[in-house]
Amino acid sequence: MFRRMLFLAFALVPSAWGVEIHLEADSKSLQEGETVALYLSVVDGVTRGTPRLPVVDGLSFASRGRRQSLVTINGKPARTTTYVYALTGLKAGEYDIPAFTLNVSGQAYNTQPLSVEVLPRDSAEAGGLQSGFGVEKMWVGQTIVHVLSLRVPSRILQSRWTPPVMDGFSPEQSAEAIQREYNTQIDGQSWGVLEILTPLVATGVGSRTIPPGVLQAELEAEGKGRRRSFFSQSRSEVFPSDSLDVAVYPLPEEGRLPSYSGLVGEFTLSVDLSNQRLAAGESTTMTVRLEGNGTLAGMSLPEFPDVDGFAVYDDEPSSMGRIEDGDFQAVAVFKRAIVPEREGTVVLPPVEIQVFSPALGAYVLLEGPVFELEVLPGEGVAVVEPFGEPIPQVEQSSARDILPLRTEASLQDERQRVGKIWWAIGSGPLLLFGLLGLVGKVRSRERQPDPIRDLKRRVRDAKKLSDEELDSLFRACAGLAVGRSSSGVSKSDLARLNSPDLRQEAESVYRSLEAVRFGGGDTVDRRRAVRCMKALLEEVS
Amino acid sequence: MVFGVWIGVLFAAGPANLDSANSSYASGRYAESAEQFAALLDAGHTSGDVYYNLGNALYRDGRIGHAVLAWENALDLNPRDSDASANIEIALRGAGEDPERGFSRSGPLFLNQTLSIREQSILAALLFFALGILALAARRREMAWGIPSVMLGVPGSYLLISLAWSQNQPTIGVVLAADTSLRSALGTDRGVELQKLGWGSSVRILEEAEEHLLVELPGGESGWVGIRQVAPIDAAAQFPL
Repeated sequence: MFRRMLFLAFALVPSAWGVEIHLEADSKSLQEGETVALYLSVVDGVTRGTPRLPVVDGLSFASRGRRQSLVTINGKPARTTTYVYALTGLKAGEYDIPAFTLNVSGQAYNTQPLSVEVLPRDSAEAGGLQSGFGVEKMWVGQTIVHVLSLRVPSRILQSRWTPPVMDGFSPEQSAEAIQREYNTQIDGQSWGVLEILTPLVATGVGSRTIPPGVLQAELEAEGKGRRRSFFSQSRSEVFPSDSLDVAVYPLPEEGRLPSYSGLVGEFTLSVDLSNQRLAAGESTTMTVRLEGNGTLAGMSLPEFPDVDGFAVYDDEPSSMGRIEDGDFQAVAVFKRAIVPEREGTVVLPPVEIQVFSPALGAYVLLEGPVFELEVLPGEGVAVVEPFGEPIPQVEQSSARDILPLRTEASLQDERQRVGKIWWAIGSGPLLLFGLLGLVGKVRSRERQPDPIRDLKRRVRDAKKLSDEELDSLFRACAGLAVGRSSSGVSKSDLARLNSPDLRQEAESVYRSLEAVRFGGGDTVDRRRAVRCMKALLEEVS
Repeated sequence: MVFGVWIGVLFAAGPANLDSANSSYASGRYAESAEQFAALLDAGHTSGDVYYNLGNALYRDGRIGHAVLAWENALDLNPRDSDASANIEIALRGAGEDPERGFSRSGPLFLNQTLSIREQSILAALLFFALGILALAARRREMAWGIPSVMLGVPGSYLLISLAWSQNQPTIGVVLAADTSLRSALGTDRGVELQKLGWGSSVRILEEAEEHLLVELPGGESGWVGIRQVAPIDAAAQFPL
């Protein structure tokens, strides 16, 4: 499922954002009575109810529910609804699930057709490990796919494939091996399937035997629920593959041109020209697309024939390979800029690439179309100056010539650096933020509680306080001075004051306050109390 | 109305001169075309395209070193100009120089090969502007802004460091004349000739003294050359025709 979502994510990146529909099966090849999962994915759209698949004679579909996921691509969330069906092969044969129309978010969209092959029960792959190349005759330089398939009557939890030493074969550089794991059902029995497809290039001529490789698989143990203990949920099994006898043939000399490209495979060539009517000095782009089942890594386009009046510039080619439906497929795209330098009608020689076809066992010449260019007067064309002035030379065409002039040049002054005003704008919000932060810091510092400052302020206004408030204030000051809480200050605590005079004074004020508090005195000498409290606070400061 | 006329003149003046320069080029009057392209630069139309065309005209006129300097200036304004790079390579190969032997344009922090100094400045200013706005918004709404601020602040700081570092790098120059003498001492009659420099080859300018430049070659060798034989790559400076 993760691989499918990843595939969907990558498939959607280059496309314009909109509804996408994909139809995929766990396996496109199944045997009679076998059931595999079929997925219909609707990206960024909503369907009403579960879509009904078309009726195909020989196949059966049964809905198995749906699931939804949210994938973010290029910062945009895309909701993917995947409808899961059980696809069962009823009768041997090759079938096409035709394209059908889906109503998504009120609009009609068509799916892509999907081909499925149902094999007879007898010829179907049996359980166990099987490996092979799928081709009968190999030619040196040919890209082939090594297929390893494990089919066991339980779920495959983990696997590790140790391939044999394959002398005479080298890994295909442009594509990686792919591994697929899925579950299938045959007559109600659940099977786990593992497939590993490895693209290889035959590099050594001759017959040889490829020794067996080893596949170690962790399989789900039989038994379910409580009967299955924690330590026996899986079992490990080792499956050796069969040894393979292969014969790689050399390419024949007969029919090989000196310009043979070195490609081996079945290829198709398409050539396109962006513009066939242009002015001298302008460029037209020739796009050459080569597609086939052979390796194209490192392939370069044949050189443009040495024809006067053209400047030719080859772009870096792009090529990629991948395994698709069990076969290797590669595509290379070459772009060639052609700049005619003389007016008139000129014929471009066709692109010719000779390849070796393994199917035919012979060389094939792929030939592109012949293009006719209508070249109008323009820069780069020789102009005869009147009054006997020297006739300028026509620019010599060669593949190493400089690129042409830009007639539509931009005249905007690009040299200015970003001025101070832009830096002021750029850093303005940040400076403002810093300033606000500074102001906030100062204010918060002001707001921080300072008990000494608060007490000093209260002591200044002590003359207006009642006796009780004065007692409370004195205790607060004394508590601060002796390091006790104000409510817990007792007379004995005052003995901890350093200054004997202050100690004596404080004890005296304490006594008078206590006397007033308990009715033993009428009044407190406020001036003395204030002086004492100030001294206590000074002691703390 | 006066303003309208002034704007009209301003915008009309450029294309007319450009057409004239293009026409001269098409007619094979490359020296004249180069003068006209240089005049466009002097008039303030200092674009990568004009420098590119100037390089083409100079190349056709046989002044390979000047052509390389013009294309380098085009790259200074637009490092992604692959045409200018291709032309430099073709010109240097044609002159027997090794295009691979030169100073990297990537800069100390590998940005100068992709972004011009101007683009880096604008990008840094925008990033810091966004960072400031984010900080103010976060202060007001008490939102978590740690990760977004790192995402804006780190590339912004990287750009600033790259800019500051680039400004302090020694200037790269282009040898304008063929067979330029690299001498061991300042002056044409002092020291010994260490080697000949081909036109279009790049050097690092370390010091200027008495109409001479102390330069360093890509291989690490250094010596003195005449001030008129090497010109610095600087699109903002007057082009030495």
